[in-house]
Amino acid sequence: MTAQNRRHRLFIANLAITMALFVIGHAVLRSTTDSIMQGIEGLSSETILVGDQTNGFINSPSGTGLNANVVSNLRAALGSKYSISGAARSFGEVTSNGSTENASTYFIEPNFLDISRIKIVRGRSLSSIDYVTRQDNCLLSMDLAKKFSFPSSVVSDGRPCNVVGLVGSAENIPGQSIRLSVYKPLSVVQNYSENGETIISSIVLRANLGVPTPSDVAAIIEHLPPGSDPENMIWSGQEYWAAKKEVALGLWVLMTSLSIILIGMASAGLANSLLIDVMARRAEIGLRVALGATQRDIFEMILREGLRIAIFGGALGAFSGFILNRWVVSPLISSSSLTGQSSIPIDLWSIGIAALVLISSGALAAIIPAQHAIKTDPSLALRNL
Amino acid sequence: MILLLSAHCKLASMFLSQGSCVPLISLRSIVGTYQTSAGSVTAIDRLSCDIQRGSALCIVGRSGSGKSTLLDIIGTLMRPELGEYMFDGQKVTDLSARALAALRNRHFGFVFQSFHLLGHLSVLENVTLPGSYGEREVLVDRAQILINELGLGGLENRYPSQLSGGQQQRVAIARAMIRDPSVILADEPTGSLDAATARDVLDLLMSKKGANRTLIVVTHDEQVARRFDNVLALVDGQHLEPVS
Repeated sequence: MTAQNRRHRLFIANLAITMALFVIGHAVLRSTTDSIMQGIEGLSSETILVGDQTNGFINSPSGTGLNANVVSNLRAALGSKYSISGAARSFGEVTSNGSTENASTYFIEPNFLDISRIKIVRGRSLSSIDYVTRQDNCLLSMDLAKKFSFPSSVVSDGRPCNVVGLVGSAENIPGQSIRLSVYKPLSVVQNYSENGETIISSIVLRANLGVPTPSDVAAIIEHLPPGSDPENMIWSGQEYWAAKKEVALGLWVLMTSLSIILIGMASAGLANSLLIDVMARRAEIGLRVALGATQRDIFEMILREGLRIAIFGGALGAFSGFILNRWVVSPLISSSSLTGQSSIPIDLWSIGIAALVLISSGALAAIIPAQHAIKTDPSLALRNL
Repeated sequence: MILLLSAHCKLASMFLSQGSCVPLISLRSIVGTYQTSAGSVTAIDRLSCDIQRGSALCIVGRSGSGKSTLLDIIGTLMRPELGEYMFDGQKVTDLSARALAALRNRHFGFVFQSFHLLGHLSVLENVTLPGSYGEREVLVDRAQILINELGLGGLENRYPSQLSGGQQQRVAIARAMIRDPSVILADEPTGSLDAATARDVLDLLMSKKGANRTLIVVTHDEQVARRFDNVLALVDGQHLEPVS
């Protein structure tokens, strides 16, 4: 292998590492932001959420101090103005047809889906009979159903259940599907009881008419368990959505900035490496000029090489990132339950755009060394002066 | 001014000014300088000469006398700072960089002391490299003939690092010949070779001279110079004096 080939392979490896880091970073970012937004699909301006926001309302199985009595008291106080429903949640393995996924199991009171405006897209919702005689019926999110190839039954939270319907997306956020989730009647949650009280992760209140008022909020505060922090426990749906979105956006901005810096550094590295390459190849460039190459020929040659390196590096990096994500990063992150997902999705569009940016940067980066190359004096270069 | 005439044109030399035998290369008051880290060096200083088509010429001179610079100016690798250069009746000093590149590609073949083969290209690819420039054409068939003619048959797919010095210089000569140039410019072509190989390479170069092909060799090796009828010494970059 010639020194030139060795140098070019090194450049390709550098770019491949950059691209692989981008792919993995982007996948983790997407997974994290998805996780942040999970469980709040049905929020809107007429909704109030009560729970422990620091853990995510629906994501907090305990520690909120909320229980069935709080729900009853709120119904007694605000039941004429609001539809009210509570839910408990567990997170763990759901199995079906021999495969397993990490997913959320929500134990929901009647009307929870209606109040949260979560749509049923196939089959039926849970009915009153499911809360009394058929407590082994459940709903699956469309995403989870797809993972299991639309099963007729699954085992979640250690209990089997028959799938009677599929949840698609929230009405308020078109196109955003509910993540990997199972919905069961709350009446089966003996496991979610402490000292005879059913633990509730969150309570959703939706105004039947108009929007929540300060006096409604005051009434809710009055019925919170002693020692509760209303600032953290009561959020309007809109506020909470905005807060979550802000966190997700912040993460996105941070990661995008890092990506831009990463790609910028890679481009600068490529420009620098190509410049060194051009200087090491002065005699070759001088020879090509002696053989009849024009400045344009030399410029195009260096540009082509820069592009080739960027394309190979980008493609290799995207492929490596995909493989690493699928077989290393995704299992590691899933097993630590950081994201609540069984795999970290790769967004092919984003990767494609990143590859395009990398290739364009590579071409731009090659312009400086190409300009340098065309200034090579063949007479001096061939005499190694 | 020194007039150098090939054998068939010697009688006509007296009538040169009347255009009966126009020199292939005509240099008038040429000044050639190059830059080094120490500053500007004037290697050729108001030099004039004519070189006829089909001649075989050896330029000798001590180190630093400007031999290589003169070769670079003739081969259009360097633009003279002053003076006029005519090639085959065409004023080279007025040509654009693009036109100069085309002229080099079509009319000049270079042979260097250190071969200057591209290490990542095979023998065949090195020989056909001039076909990538100028009037682009595939020269594989012609390259194959030259490779066989120069005794390199069977080595087409080898890389320079797999060849001996003599073989590498033969590849360089094949590359110089691929466009069937009017002029072959060789700068110390045997400088990196042992005596026996140098003799072979020189024989090869001499055999490539023809009625329409001029051979100009620059050397400081007396053994090489003795092979030429026309030997000129470059003195201080200013004069070319015949060496007997």
